[in-house]
Amino acid sequence: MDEEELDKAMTKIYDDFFAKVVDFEAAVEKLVDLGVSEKDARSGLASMMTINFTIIDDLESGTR
Amino acid sequence: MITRPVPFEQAVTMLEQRAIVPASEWNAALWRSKREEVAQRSFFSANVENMRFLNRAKKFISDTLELATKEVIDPDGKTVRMLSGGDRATFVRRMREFMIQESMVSGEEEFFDVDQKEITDLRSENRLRLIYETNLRQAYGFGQWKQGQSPAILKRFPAQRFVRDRIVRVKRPRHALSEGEVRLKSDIEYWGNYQNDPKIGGFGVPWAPFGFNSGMGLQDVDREEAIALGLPVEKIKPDTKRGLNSKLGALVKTADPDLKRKLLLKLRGYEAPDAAERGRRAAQGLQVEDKGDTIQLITEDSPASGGSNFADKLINKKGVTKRVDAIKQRTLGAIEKVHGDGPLEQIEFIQTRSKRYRGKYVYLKSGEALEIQLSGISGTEITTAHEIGHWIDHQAFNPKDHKYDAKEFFKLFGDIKDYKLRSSWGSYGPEFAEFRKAYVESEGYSRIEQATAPRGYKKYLLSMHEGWARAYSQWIAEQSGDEIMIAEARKRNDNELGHWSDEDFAPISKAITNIFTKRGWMRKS
Repeated sequence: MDEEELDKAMTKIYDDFFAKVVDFEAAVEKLVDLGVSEKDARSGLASMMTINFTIIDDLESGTR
Repeated sequence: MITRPVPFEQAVTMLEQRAIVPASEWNAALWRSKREEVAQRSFFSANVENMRFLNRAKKFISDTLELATKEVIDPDGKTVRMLSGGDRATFVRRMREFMIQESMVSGEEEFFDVDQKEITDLRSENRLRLIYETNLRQAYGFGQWKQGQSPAILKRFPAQRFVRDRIVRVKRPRHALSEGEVRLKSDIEYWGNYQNDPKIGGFGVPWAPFGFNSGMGLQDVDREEAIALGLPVEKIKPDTKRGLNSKLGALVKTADPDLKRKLLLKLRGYEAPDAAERGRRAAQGLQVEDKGDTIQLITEDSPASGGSNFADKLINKKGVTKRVDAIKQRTLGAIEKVHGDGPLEQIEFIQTRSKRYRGKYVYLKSGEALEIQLSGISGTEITTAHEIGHWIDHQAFNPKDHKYDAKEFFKLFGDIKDYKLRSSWGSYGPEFAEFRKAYVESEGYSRIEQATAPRGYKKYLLSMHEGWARAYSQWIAEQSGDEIMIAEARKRNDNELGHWSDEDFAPISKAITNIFTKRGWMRKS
């Protein structure tokens, strides 16, 4: 798996985790299966839980 | 006379025995309650005096050395400055004179008994003795003054006489001329600004003592005598606002900048090299404001000049449990110790049940702040501080109309696609340049860069505004000394990406302190 493919695969696991498709431990396991160290898998995912601001479109446009 | 530091209760008793007012009118409980204020006051002035001493000593030593040295040619042919044989004695003599003048020793004879290795301790003890005694006298003077402000006593004794309470070696000329003068107690201009004028070594307050080593005191004057002297007793009103430490400040205009900086660190309890220890000490330290020419103690009746409080600006929406509210309150308490908020308006605080997002700061593209969310499951004090960090970045430090000059922005950050959104944040502006430099040079930043994680997520984690929010939360933990927050920041540094070790964080901490200081919002720095 080249770098690009690895990034895509990791991104999907992260996306699935935040979309509630998989839980934390399952996401860690999937990342480890990709060759990510368990430490990086855990610390990376946990850090992203502080992605913590949401952008809401202008209310006038009617989209949220 | 108090000749050494004594326990507070013992000092109270000692001073009570010297009370000018009759024992029946002395409310000991009133000024026993001032224990903490006396401690703060003593700590403040002892350190200010030490800094002033060092400032004088530095100048004196440099001047004296200039006189007691001469230029000689060394064996290598270089011109060097050396102490000359005959002038060495002059130097020692002048140093001794200086030490006596500075109360480092009580007199010439003390040099015969001095253990030279302990000269620093000797100096401290003598100086602190004088400072300690003066501060106790001030507390006593304040207690008397406060008692004199009660309506009943003020009506009966509306004025006071300036009297010599003890003999001193050198009288201040202004005091010598004014002995026996009577004025209303409410005449602050006379008592605080004239007789206790800082220009003659006074403390600028309307109660005794009237300067270091001053022997002047006050004696109550009854209504009849005050009327007979033509004083307008009918107009007098109690002064209920003034506290013992009101307007307690130190003039540092001529201080060496390095000594001033050290004094600030010392006063704030912020001089330990280790951040956690600094935090613990900071919790015990004083809240002082650096006003340039002066350093001012922040008290209830002399609040920090910059920034309003924002404890009441996070408005709970329905559904916030007691536990989550306690997290919010603890965080706000920690922030309140450190800084004010400037222009922030109220924002809603909402509790969520999210397992994956600890917290969110929510806003509109137009720039309006909507709400701060905290997960009741995974949200903590550090998370709350993190979201508040976003809110401050977005609403207090933001550029006008949430827009930077595009050219400048691209020059700094390259071709960033979401320029419009990122330029809403203060963290991308010129005010945060020192912070950004410290942030990208930190080991914590490198750790994110090197971690095996998706590029898009890493990019977000590395972004300035996200780095700022994490750094802000850690800075609040460190500066407030909140143990729960310090422990959590450390735990996050151990287990996650994005936080910093104490050592790694030091330059970032300094940069954040500078940002708030320049805005005039700092409480502690």
